[in-house]
Amino acid sequence: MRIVSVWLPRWPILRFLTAQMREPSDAPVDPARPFVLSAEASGGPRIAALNIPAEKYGLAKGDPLADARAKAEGLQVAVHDPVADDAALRHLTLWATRYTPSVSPWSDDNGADGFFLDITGAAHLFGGEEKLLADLSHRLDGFGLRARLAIADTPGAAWALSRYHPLHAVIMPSGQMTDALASLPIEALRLSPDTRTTLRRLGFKRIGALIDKPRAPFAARFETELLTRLDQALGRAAEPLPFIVSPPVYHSTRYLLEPIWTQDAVLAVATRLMKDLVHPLVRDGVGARALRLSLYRVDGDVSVVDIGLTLPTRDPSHVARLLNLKLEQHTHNIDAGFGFESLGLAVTAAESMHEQQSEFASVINGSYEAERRAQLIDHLQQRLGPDSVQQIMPLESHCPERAELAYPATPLTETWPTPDEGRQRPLLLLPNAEPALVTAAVPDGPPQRFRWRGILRDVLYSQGPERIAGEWWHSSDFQPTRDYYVVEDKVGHRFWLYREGLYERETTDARWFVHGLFA
Amino acid sequence: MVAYAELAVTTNFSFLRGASHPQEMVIVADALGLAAIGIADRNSFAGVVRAYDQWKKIRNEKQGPLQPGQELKTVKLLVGTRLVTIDGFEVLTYPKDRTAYGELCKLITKGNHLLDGKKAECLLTFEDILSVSDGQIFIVLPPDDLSSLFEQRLEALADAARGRAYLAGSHLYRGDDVRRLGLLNELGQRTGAPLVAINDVHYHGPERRALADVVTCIREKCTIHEAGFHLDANAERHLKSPRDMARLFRLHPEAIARTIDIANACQFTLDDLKNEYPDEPVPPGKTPQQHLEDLTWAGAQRRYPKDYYPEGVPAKVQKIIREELALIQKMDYARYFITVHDVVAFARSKKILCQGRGSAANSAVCYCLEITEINPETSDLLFARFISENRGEPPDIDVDFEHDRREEVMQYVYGRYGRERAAICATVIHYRSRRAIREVGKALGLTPDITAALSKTVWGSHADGLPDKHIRQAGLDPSNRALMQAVFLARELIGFPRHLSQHVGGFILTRGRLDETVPIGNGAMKDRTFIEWDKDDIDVLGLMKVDVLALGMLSCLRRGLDLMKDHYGTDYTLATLPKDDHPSSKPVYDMLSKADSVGVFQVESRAQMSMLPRLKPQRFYDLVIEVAIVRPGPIQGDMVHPYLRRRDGIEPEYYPSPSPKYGPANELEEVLKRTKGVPLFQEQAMQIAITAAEFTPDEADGLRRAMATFRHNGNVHLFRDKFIKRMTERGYDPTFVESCFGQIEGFGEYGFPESHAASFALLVYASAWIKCHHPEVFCAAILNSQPMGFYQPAQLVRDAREHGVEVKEVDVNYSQWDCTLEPASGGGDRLAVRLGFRQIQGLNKEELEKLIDARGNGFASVERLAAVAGVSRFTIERLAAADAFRSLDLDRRAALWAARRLDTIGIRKPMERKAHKKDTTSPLPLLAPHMSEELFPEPQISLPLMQLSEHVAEDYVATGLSLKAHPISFFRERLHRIGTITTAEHRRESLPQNKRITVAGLVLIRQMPGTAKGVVFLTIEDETGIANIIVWRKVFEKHRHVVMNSKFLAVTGRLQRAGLVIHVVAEDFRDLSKHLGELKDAETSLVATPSASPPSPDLSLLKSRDFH
Repeated sequence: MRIVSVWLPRWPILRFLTAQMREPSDAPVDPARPFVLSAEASGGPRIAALNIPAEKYGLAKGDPLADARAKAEGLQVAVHDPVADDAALRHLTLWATRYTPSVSPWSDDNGADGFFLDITGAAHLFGGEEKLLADLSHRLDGFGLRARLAIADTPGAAWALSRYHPLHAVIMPSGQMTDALASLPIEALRLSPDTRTTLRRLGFKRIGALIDKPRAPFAARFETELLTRLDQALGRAAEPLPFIVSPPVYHSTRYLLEPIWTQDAVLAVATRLMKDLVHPLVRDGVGARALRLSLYRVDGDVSVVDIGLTLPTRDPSHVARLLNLKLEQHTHNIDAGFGFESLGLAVTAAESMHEQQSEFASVINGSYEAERRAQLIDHLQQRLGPDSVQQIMPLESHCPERAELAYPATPLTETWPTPDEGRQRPLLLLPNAEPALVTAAVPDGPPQRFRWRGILRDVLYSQGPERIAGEWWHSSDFQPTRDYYVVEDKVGHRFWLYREGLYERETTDARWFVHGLFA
Repeated sequence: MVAYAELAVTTNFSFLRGASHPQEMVIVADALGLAAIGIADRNSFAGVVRAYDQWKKIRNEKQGPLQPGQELKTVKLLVGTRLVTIDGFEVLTYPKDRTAYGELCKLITKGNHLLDGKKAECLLTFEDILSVSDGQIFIVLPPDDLSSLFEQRLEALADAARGRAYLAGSHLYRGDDVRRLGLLNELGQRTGAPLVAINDVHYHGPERRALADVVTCIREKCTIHEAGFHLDANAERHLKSPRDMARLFRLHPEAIARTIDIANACQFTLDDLKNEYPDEPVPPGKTPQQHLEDLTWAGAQRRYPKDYYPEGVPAKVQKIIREELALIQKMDYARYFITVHDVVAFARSKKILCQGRGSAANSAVCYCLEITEINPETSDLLFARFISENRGEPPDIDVDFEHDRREEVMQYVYGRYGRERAAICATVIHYRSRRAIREVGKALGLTPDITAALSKTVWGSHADGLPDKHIRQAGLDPSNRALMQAVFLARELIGFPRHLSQHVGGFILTRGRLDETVPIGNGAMKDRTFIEWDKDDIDVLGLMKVDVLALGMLSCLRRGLDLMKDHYGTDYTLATLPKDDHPSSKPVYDMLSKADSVGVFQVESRAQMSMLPRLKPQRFYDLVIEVAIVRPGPIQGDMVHPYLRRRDGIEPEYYPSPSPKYGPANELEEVLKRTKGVPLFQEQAMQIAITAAEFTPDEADGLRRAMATFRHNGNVHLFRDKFIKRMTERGYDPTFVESCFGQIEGFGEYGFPESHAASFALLVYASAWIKCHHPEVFCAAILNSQPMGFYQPAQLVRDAREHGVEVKEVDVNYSQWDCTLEPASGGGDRLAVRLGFRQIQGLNKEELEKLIDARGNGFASVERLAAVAGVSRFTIERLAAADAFRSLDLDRRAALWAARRLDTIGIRKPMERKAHKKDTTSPLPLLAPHMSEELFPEPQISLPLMQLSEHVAEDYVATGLSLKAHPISFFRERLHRIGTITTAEHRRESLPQNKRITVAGLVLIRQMPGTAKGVVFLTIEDETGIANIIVWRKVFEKHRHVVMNSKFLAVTGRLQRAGLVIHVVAEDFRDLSKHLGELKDAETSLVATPSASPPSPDLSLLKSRDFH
């Protein structure tokens, strides 16, 4: 057996930085300065991972964040996301299936920061182990991942060498494990902390000190773990690896005779690929909720386009339309180079999809309306662009013009807001409050008559005031308080007026505005 | 003019609801001309005393300029609470009289008692409120939606409190106020709870609205942008003038008039609570004063026994006692003294060492009552001023008890007076600058990084805010709006109460039920109950407080005295230790004069140690001065050097005097005589204010209070101006005046009155006496009292060894839990210290007791020990790690190797997590005694030999010290090569002053005293001793990281010597900490690459103590 061990030191940091490269933020982390990822723990956040500049400040994993900040001024901190780390590691491991189908990301026991490749009988495809290792190392470098690599006869030995050998890439010739491991520290055996410290206390600091010793005394003193790990590393006991395989449940690929590079050509191939998938989707009674188009370039590079759908679909032309939109947005990101030699389309998320016989039930339960709304939004968005369709959401603000928010519509909104009964608000809120000339008693009497848009109106009834003070946190300028009145004139028109500025406290000369109209 | 009383005032003692201090409310209410103000915090009376205090001040101020016949017009203060039930029924409740108030307190106490130790709100139900309706005035707050349930309850309450129930209406400015108030008026008439006007005040003026919004955000844990309808729409919840209120309620003038009816009906004031001292310990048929006099004279007979005082109690003492008793009688304080005596007598009966201090503690009466040990016969203390006659403030006695036995005393107090009559007083935790800026920043939606940067700049600057410069230094833009708002609001928030916590040991005792005086809550600690008021509130109300405090040194001294009794047959107490007149006192003073004071109470710090050789104490009073002089007060007032010069006779004693037309030239001589004309004690400073600056006692008291809280409020400058102006006017030298005031400022936070200093000095003397005459006893006693004091066990042991004490290592066959004394290896009179199991970290005491019981003549093997003593494998491994099997001829590795096998051969059950806590039974009890290692033969494994350096490192990890060698000795060769000298060499007199040298060692202590601005003091230790390093601010700023974080440090700097005191003034540093790891890995130097994480050496093995 020949196993490649790939260790990605400071994986959470690397993962964070690569993610940042893909989605630049306003305040990007500077990798040249101390940077840590923090995780919540009892007694406050602690360091979960850190970069080299942070290590130079004497920080270490597990340190309380508050202490770390005190030690390293200007420490950059982000929140550790182990789930994303795991997902990314799995993703990277899958990528490595280009070398061998047998790949296995490290579990927590192994540090969750690397993976194994079983290249038994596969190395010759790449021109031998050296070449394979060089290629792997080179490509990982290209991703911005400085890995440490080792090839050995067992996962244990490969793990140990990748972690503890001074060289970046090591190949241990077959059958030489004992010598290679003897000089490594016992930590290289992947032992539990208790076993590790006990061994150190007893003076066993190198693996060599354990090899060839009588086994019984050790068996009597340590859980089976020690001898098992030793045997696994030395190849005396098997260590089955939990290989993962990619789960392309629905997947189709086209290898092209001639490379293609135009968007039309890509779309045409993609449509054919989707047609290939219709049958299996129908068979299983499902539709695609998410799709991934992989574009393999002649020079070995891969581009990926992901699309998501509001409702499950099997319609090739619908998919093609969405792909078209996506490709248009991405053209500057996707470099066709010398063209794509093959394309793959995979359904990455599927959902059950039933043929609709009757819409009756859905009308009753309201889902009909939601569905129609979703379709409308889908269509409008396809035509006008996703940001052109907006919907309005009520916001909790006393200030009338801030009490709602328009935001890009998503077809999935199930509930629509109902008006707030507690507050009397006009049907039409003027986009900008308009000045009016008002006669009213000081300090806070209601309007008796007012002139607005050139027309003088006598107030018959009025209610108020509703007093709304400015939202001081939006501006450091003074924002006068408003006294709102609902008034009805002689003809029965109703208006929403406000006086700006409180007498005495804020102003001596209050101004009046019309802010809205009732029916 | 129309009269109005605001009856719904929520202060910031309704935490995170009110946005003004109770004092602010009272001041503004008075200024607006309100007839009354009702403070009603949420299920609490926590803020009322502050309001009351402010109200009294206003009244006193107005009383002064009052013309005869003129009527005193101040706002009336009503004490109430806003009861809020768990289902949201809210009612303002005002007790009409003392009884009703008591019922309310009991109700809130009951609600608090349901909390079960958890921090939650007071849990009350509507039925609870009904049950206390007698004598209360209820003002029910209507909910937004008037439900039928609410109406029912309103009716029920109106029935129960006929004529005393009202319905609150407030003008909310929601547009529909006319209609709503009309509805409420109608509802009130229907239910018999008529409408009364309130404004539901949450802040004193509209300008506090922003802060009110921010505290709402803090409470709701959201940002201001998310808060939405949690916030009020406008700024109307402030105190309004009667005219404004009348206008708002013009349709309901009767609702305004009713506020006055209510205010008139409430006759209860906090004056009704005064002076309810318990008289428990007074036997029937005697007055407290008689009893106190009897106790005092009986005590005097014991203190001055016929054997030594054939004449009886010395005449001088008799005279003092008589004077004091007369004063006590006049002030009616006998119960207080008797109560303290009762607590102290309990402690003595249980052989718990204790000592009193505080303003009243150093009286002759206290000496006779055995509360203190300062003998009035031989001491020069002036007693007459121990109680300020004018202030009428209760006397103050704090009693320190042995740290580890204080709980017994506290439980005795609870037992004696009952939970209803004794409780600990509260400590109000206030917003300090950092916390304020952090929470305000969060509420305004600033990112944690920005608030962290801001709060860092706040550090050190208190009320004086944040200059733009600092903000820019933090890399932030001072013109940024959100930032400025945050800073402004944070400044307002500083000083707001955050929550109530319990005071360390201040007991409040009452004659009647305490829960009828103030609500009581449960502390976070089991068996602790505490009241809602803090010690300032208690002072205002004149309630009785007895401080039951803990002091580690008392534990240490008790252990020391016990050991001396057991091993040397001497039976001393604190009072009977040989004193100045005994020849054994001379070596004690000689020792202290050499600054040989490691471990000695109070004078072991670096600053004290450098003072000792200069002060050269020769008698007890010198110790009193020594204790008091190294304090911020005298240092800030620049009083230290004049005192030393006068003591050494370099400068004549001199008493500043006023110009002759203002007073006698020697007016200060009486005050300052004992300290050679230099004010060193707090009461001297106060006395100067009274004598030389002609402060009234009330003013002086105000000054003292302003000092104690000068970080919270800024009225110190008023006193300052007055103090300086008056003294200079009276012809005092301005420099002297300035330094006097500087000293008063220093006293503010670290006040050290003479009586405290005297009590502490006695402990200094006692601990020094034991250390001097029985260093082995002192070593064992102080190790057994850890953690305490300034030094780590390693330094204490080292110090003992330097004084010729043999210290033996922890051993399973010889050690007890505590450190013990046993014959020295070489014989001789002086016993050796055997380190106890307590030195080993992580051991369980009961388990080790079991081991000691089972030990018999000793264990022959690890297996036998495990089988017979039944201790867990965890414990055995800990013992092995501490190298405690040497008497079995096993080093730590061999012992660990044997211990690891115990599970497998069936002596111990497999180790589970925390097994050492409960698993102490052997699985094979019958077989166990016969079991021996020979039954289980196995192949021999030769364990790698352990280097000495590694042993030392492991010793430090397991026990915090090593007797084998000093860690630094292993680096000596290498240190020598980089030009480092030992600390012993750096003390050599041949080294010239100012020579540039390099010393290296473990960092023991880092200190950044507040008085030495920005200067850091380091103490480093190598195998030959210690070196004191001074790092000036500039150097520190450059090397901050290394100075603050190194564990093993080489320091290059200039040698400075003043007599016995040697310092190195640092210029450069070299952090050697990483080499400490080599101790543990001496035989291997890892090949692992830098990026591979090598097994991290346990650097925590050497801890320093950092003092800020």
